[in-house]
Amino acid sequence: MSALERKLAWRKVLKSRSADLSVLRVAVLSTFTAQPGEPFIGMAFEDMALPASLWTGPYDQIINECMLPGSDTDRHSPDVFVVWPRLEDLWRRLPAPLTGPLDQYTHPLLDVIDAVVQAAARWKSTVVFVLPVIPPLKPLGVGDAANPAGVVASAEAARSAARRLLAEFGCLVVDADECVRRIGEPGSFDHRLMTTARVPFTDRLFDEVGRRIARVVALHRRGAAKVAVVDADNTLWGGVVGEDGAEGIDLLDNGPGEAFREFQQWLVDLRRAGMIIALASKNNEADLWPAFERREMVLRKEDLAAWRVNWNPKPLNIAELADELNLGISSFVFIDDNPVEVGSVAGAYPELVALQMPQDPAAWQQAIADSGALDRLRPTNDDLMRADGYRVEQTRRELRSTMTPEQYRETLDVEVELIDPAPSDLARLSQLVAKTNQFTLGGPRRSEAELDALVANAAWSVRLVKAKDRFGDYGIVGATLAQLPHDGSPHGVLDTFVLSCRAMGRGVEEAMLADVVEACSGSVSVTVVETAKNAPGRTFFATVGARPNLTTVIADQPWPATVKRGPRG
Amino acid sequence: MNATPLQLTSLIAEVIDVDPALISEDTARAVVDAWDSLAQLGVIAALEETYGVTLSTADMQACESIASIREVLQRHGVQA
Repeated sequence: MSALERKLAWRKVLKSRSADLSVLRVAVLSTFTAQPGEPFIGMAFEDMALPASLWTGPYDQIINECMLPGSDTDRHSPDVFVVWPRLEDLWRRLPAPLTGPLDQYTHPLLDVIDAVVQAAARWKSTVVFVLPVIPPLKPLGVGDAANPAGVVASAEAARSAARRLLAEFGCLVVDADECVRRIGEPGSFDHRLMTTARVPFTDRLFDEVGRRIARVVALHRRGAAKVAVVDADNTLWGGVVGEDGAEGIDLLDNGPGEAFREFQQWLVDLRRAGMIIALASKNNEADLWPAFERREMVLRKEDLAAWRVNWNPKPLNIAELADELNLGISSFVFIDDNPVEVGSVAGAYPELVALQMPQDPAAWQQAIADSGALDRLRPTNDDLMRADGYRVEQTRRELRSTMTPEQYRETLDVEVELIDPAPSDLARLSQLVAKTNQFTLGGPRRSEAELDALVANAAWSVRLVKAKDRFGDYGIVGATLAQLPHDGSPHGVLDTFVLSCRAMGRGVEEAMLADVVEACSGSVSVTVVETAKNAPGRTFFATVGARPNLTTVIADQPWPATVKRGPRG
Repeated sequence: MNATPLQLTSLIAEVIDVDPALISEDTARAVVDAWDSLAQLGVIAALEETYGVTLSTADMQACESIASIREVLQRHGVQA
């Protein structure tokens, strides 16, 4: 299915869904524009028979969404909380990794995990953390490989530290870099979309990551398969032991026989990981067991927990194996080379996964890995996996777990500066007014010509908003326009109030409002018009008493205590 | 190239999920609410997939109307 077909299929799923279908609410937070991933993640859940609704949070707001009560994600309170940061974004305030120390490239990722785990515990969400890809661009190019403090080294250090911390918290993990390796770098990254819309990845990468997200969630909810039932002839070895004899079957080096032995080795490894191996073979026992005596055999009879070696139909044998092992058939995976057998077992037990092996035994391990049928989560304490079991208090890290959202905001050291636009700022001002959709008053947008005139009009206050915090300078992120009190009215009139979403939720909006109220001699009337996209703006103004579609006078708006006032403000 | 390419206007209408009657030869992105920046990403991907072209960043920026999309495709040797 092409990417376009997959996207249209997802839309169709959403449209045909009945309203009372109970779905898994999946929320995605990332440091980039992740909306293009929604159809792929959604369809991957659909493929796993886990109908899901997808919601993508505001751009590059992971920690704020987690820490601030009343954030969009907080209100959404998802069942599954997917977090997908990118190291390039977390490292934006740092010099490109060249000379170390490695720690500074690790901490931002661990900070994200801390915030995520705390929020997930509050929301009782299952976390799926997407381990970020190793950045493909390196200043030293081919020389990065030899640099123990280079891009790859720093990314690897951050990723392993993150993996350890995630294991401690029992989070589900998907490795985006594994997906890049599968697809290849050229097919995974799209720098054009990155520069155009902050979308770093191709549809293929979103699709691959989406499938893995759905796979780990399904595995977590349903548990892993417990029993692998394998056939013998042309599955464990080449040929038919009843015809070729134990000495005649193919287990030889340098050919298909070697691939069959590798498959056996893989079954032995799975057994070590906790899988039960059983055998269902149409054979006479007297013919079959001598084959297990062959020196080349890797799988031994004692590795088998149970077997049925007879001429009965395989569905019957599987039912008997289930009885003997006292396990449900739904926890069985059936592996056979014969399409007729696979068909009969799959037909008899739709709840069981029946895998038809490809012709060439060299392709088997990959076929099984791709099917996901034998996926297992890392051996772990079940309690740890439950969101309410996150043992936040037991971990050594960090002050943040005892911090209230207000305290967190204080640690951000937000500084807001309100400036009167210079002529060179007009382009940024009109861009902000034209492009901001979420944090707006929802009324008509001022054109560039109107803005130009209003900047020069002494009866108006026009302000640009510069903001920075301890992570760095955000630049010009917002603007306010207000008509000063006139015609005998004691109140000014708020005309435009726009704030870029990357600066929301840190007190910048309160500072902007305080400034505009002050500019209007202490009170301003506000009318917020509801639009499809301006929920963030409406939500904020509701907190200061301005309901949508009504005109409200706001007075005595104090400068927020956690925000420092910049020099020109 | 897709064996039976949709008419360009129908393709755009399908991708941005609006009534095909709303998209005509002289439609500009700015006048169609549903054709927002996210829908535009879908449009770019669909153009590349359907017509087998690789657009540059400047091409992407230029795709602001049916007419300009047609122009961009023409530059890539596609008569859509």
